[in-house]
Amino acid sequence: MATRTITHYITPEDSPLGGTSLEIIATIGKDLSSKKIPISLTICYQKDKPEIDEQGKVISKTQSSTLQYYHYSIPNKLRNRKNNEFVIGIPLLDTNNDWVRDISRKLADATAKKYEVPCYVSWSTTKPSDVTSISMDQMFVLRNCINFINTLYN
Amino acid sequence: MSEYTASATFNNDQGSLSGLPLDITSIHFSNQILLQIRLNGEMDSTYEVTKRGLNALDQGISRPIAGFNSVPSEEQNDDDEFSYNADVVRDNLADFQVVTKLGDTTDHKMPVICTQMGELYQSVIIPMLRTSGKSNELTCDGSSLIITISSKIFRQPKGEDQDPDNELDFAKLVFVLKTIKEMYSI
Repeated sequence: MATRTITHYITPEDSPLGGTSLEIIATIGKDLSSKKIPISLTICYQKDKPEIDEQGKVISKTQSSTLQYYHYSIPNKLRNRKNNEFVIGIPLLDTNNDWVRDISRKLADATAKKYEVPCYVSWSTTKPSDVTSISMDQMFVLRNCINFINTLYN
Repeated sequence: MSEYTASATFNNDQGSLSGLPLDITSIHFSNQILLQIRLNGEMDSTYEVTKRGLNALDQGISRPIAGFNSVPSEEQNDDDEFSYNADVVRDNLADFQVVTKLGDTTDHKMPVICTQMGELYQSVIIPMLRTSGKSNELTCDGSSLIITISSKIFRQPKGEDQDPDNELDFAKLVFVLKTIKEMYSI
């Protein structure tokens, strides 16, 4: 086993600014000093936290969600004056939803830049469309995801 | 979405990979299955496997994982050049279309490997999940698969003519497929 997988829920109560509930499944290398093991983040947007009984068993049914976007970012090892990007990224599964593409790319780029490892971000939603999302929500998602990855590194 | 993980370690049957850890994660969405296969924690190439063709018509007929159901006989193709044996024409590997999203596009081994994984999901795992009553939470029918894999698993070491790993590709593939299958039987 070279990796571990952690599931994490974020609820709007975590932030005074409010936001949307999220589920994050992160796979991260056990050897945190290795720069070759990628972090992979799978995010389910607007997912309700499942009810859990005293034995820790999940009562409510798993909500199905649709994969919308899959992005890969990698730190730029060949960085020079001409090619000045810190991170290079590519969509592996594209979407026509700009909001989803933007936030996933930002999250992948930020993670790749901060921890100097390749990063895969897959974004899924439980509801068909979320065009009503506002930019405040984007900050909430990004900050909470980065905070969560931070806890994995400490 | 629901998530499955499995870990295994390559053994001596897989040659140079012996002792390296294999970590597999799969996440089921309603439209896709995302499969991440890591060698030593690493992965580099991404492939999209989608199901194509009319093989829904063949459902119910038992078919082999590879090869043909029957051997073509000499007597059949005498007078009519348009007559054919349906089993011979049938090519199960052609049911899947593999797109290299990121990786070496000149590598012809990986699409075949990805096709075998698609076939595993189609013929074994999805029916298995259905019979175990998990189908209501898994609306995905397994016809669309995104595989992120380490290409090092099937890579040949350079500059070796008589490479023993050449013959071990099948053993490696069987080991990976077996680990994927075991992931669902927990």
